[in-house]
Amino acid sequence: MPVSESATELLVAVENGDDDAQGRLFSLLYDELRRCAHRQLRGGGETLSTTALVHETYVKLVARETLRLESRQHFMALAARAMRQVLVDHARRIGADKRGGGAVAVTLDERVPDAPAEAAEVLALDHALGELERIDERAARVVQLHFFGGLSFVAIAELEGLNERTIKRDWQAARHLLAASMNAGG
Amino acid sequence: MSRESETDLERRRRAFAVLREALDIDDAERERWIDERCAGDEALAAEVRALLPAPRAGVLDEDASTIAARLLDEADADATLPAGAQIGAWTLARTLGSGGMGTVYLAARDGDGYAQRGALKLIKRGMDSAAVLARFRRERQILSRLEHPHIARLLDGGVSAEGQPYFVMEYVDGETLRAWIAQAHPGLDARLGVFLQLCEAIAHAHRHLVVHRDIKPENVLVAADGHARLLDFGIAKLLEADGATEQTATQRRFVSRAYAAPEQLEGDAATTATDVYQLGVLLFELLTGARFDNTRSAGAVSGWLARAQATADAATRKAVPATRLRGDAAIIVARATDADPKRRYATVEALAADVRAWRNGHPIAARPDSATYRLRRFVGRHRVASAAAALALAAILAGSTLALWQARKAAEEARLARSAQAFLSSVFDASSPDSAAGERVTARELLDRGSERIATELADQPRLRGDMQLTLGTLYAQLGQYVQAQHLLDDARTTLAQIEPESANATRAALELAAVQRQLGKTDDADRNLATAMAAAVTPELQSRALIERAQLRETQGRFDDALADARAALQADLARGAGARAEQARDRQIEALVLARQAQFEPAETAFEKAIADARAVYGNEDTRVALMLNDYGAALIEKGRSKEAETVLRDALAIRRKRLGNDHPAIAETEQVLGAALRAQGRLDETQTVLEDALRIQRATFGQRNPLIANTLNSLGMLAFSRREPTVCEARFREAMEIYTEFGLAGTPPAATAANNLATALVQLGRYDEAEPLMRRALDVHLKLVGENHPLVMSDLNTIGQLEMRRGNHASAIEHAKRAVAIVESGATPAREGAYAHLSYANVLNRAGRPQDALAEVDGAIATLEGISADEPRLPGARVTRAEALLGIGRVDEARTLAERALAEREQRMPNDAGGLATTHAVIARIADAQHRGADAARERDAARKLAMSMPTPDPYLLREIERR
Repeated sequence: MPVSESATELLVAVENGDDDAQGRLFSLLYDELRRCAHRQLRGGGETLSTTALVHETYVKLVARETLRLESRQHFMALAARAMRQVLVDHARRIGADKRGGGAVAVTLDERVPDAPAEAAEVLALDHALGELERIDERAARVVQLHFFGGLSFVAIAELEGLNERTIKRDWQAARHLLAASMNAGG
Repeated sequence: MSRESETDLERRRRAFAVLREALDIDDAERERWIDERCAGDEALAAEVRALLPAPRAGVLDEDASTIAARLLDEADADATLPAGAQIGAWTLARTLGSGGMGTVYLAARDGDGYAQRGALKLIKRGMDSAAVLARFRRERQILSRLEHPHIARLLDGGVSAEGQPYFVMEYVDGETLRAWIAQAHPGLDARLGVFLQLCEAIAHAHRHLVVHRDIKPENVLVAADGHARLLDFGIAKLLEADGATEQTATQRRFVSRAYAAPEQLEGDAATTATDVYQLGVLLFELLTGARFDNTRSAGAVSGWLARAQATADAATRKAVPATRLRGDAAIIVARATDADPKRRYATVEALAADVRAWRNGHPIAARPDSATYRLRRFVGRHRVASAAAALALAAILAGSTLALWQARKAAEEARLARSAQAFLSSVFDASSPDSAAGERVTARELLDRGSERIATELADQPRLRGDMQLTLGTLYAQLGQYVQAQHLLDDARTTLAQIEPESANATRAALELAAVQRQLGKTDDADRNLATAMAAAVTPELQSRALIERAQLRETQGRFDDALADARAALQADLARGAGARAEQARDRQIEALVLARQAQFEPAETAFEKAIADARAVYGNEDTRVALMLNDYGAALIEKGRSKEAETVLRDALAIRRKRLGNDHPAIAETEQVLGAALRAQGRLDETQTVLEDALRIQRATFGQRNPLIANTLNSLGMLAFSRREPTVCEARFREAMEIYTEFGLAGTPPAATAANNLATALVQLGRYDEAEPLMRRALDVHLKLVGENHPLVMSDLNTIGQLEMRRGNHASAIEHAKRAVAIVESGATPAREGAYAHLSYANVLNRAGRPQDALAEVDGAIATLEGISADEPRLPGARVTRAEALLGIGRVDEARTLAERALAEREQRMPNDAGGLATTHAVIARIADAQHRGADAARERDAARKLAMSMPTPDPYLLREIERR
């Protein structure tokens, strides 16, 4: 797939208030992250952490150009969002297949039982995170950046202009709230 | 949620903000902090508390990209190849099905002029394709030899151009097993027919040294005429990794977890026994129509299948009558699916033979030794079956390790264990229909079933009935169910004495009965039964046993000299019996040692203990549970002596032996942990105390259920711990629960119950609830006076607490009178040194309050000398120094008082920094000394420190608060 616009160009456009560019950059990231994640399993090679994965995506899409710190941070935030979307979409697919496919008449072996459960948990997390966004936007952002974006607490602290301790506390409290609402939901 | 009101959202926002802060607060402080922070807003506080529990591990603990990879992979499972696609030599026709491992296609290839059909399974998981291919080449020779009418043959295999492994099997027209059951509604005969066909297939494969290792309903296809075929022979092995080069997780992925034998989940190599297990699972599903569930309760093998079926489909219920599922059918399945491969049917043929026998109504082979077999399996290491039931049984059968062994001979234990075993296994068979699957069967329930059956079924066999009542009565006693034990043993004694008054078992029944009555506090009844037993005791062995029982009764009654005489007489008799009676000699010495320790004669006690332990080691070896019991009691005696560090060493030895022999969940472990708790508490190591006591409680609750006298003992220890921690509310709850249990079990009038009552009273005193405390104290005193006479340490302790109460109320005359009586008992001799010192100390305190500092000084000096004689680290020494400082202050030796009080404060701060009450008391005394020296600023500062400490206590002691303000 030819990349008509470079990620760098898109980023600049986004920062200039081009909402449309933001959408295009998001799709670009979405596809790239999805491909990377996919490769992990097929390749049978070593598994990359989210941090490494996002970083690889960054290097691949924009590395040759030097970006301002803010732009890089913007990229990371968008990558975290894209990763969340990748997870949610595929979790939904599994869930939908399970329901919509009806009873599979001939199953010559069993589905690995963990996958649908994990998919359900991802969807529950997404929902709970949505609630957290309404309750404490920053804490929700911390979860998105740390879990989905693989950003360290130090990096998030830098991005938010706060100290690391505050970010860690956000994460901790968020985990309590997410767990509680995931329990209530499930 | 979307329609929640703004106020709801607002509250959730505030709760989250509070939560963020709350997580920074120490656990101990948090509750109070939340109340303050929420300032009366109950809804907010509740919301915050609901958020507090630590989050369970979940997706957030994993890596997002790893999850993404798994989800993508899973979602891809449904991406199927279109018709006409080419895999190797095969052309795909259509999809037959798909699952977690991959997709199965109907495929065809041209061969020797005709088109061959096959079912092609394309594995989608990323894996080392080269290794799979290599294994396939290695195995195909063997697999292609498997020609059998009930095996779908492997035709081909390889790796696709995309790198995905595939296998092609003979295409079979038929339904999977579950679909067949759902659609054809086969009867019992048809189901068993299919099962036996599969057995033939597996047996054939085993003869060719091939193991299937993945037998499950999805791998069985049944044609319309009932012809069954097994798919996927050897596939699991082909997909499994060689050696340790690939991850175990990958390896396990190819075993269907629901059908995997325990050894497969452990990662062990599959054997023919694995196939037997999986056939057992299949049989379970064929008979019940339900998914296999091996978490059945231990007492319920017989009704296991019937209960599973009750939840299954109507067709199966109709096809397989539930009445046929009781008994043998359940035994066959249980035997085939035993967690231990060695206990399963040795061959598939043996399993098939039993199924045929059962179908034709013949006795099955698994039956004859079923009783011992099942007991072994439940007492043994079944990982999945109800652990509680296994424990309970282990507790019963290994009952020798409980304290009761003292009164029993080794050979007799064997007899007891044998008859109990035989009887209990029959109790197992008679599973009650109303007990639900997965229900925890406690030892108590088993015994209850047993005693009901004795009454009804053994009515016309008096000798057997008497023997069984004796056995069960003894077991009840070991479980602390003394009231039931008394009933059974009373019946046993009557029954057996009617047959032959001087028979050994009649005497044993009388002895056991006396022991139980002693536990129940019915000392007169016990005395009477002992007299009968002694008159009837025909053998020297029974004679000495009766003496030992009487020694223990006398000890309970506080008649220590008589107790010692009986123990020594028993020892002489057993010594005369020679080396053959060495076990009894050890027992006699142990009782002698215990009595000596109670009399505070620690040196001879120690000698006796050492000899007893040496004897026991010589008879049983170093690591025997009976040796551990001796060590346990020795440790308890060392604590009484105040040598808690040595006690700890001895107790840890005992614990190690018990753990090695009995595992971590045996009630004997709890017994030693409880004593160890006392040793640790005496050393001020309160957190460790809590840990061991809570583990003891866990074990006891798992074994005995929620309520039991032994649990009450542990609760009492936990109450003492809370007392040491100065947490009177916790203390109150623990002691109250203990007392309720004692009452419930008919033990209200016994020393342990009276002790718990007295402990509770002491806690209530600290809470300022004097009027509730007093009746409890008085009752404890009455019970003790009645049971043990007026010169017993227990009475001394009761008098002491009443004295303290009167002192707090300001009734100095009454306080002095009680404290004085307590001291008089100490002086009469029978009190252990440390408790004696405490009595003198309490008396000194009362005298100080009553304005008699000179007399107080004499008392406290004696107490300090005694405590220093025990150890320089005695926990109450600093407190004693504070009392002495008060006395010195009272007689005007103010400078000495100051030096001493400041030393005590330093000791307390160093050794017991968490004892806010003790520290506050010390600061208060130092403040009064400063008053006397007109150091106003110092006094104010000390009082302030005292106030702060007192208020930091969970429940500040009102008396202490008043003491602080006293000038």
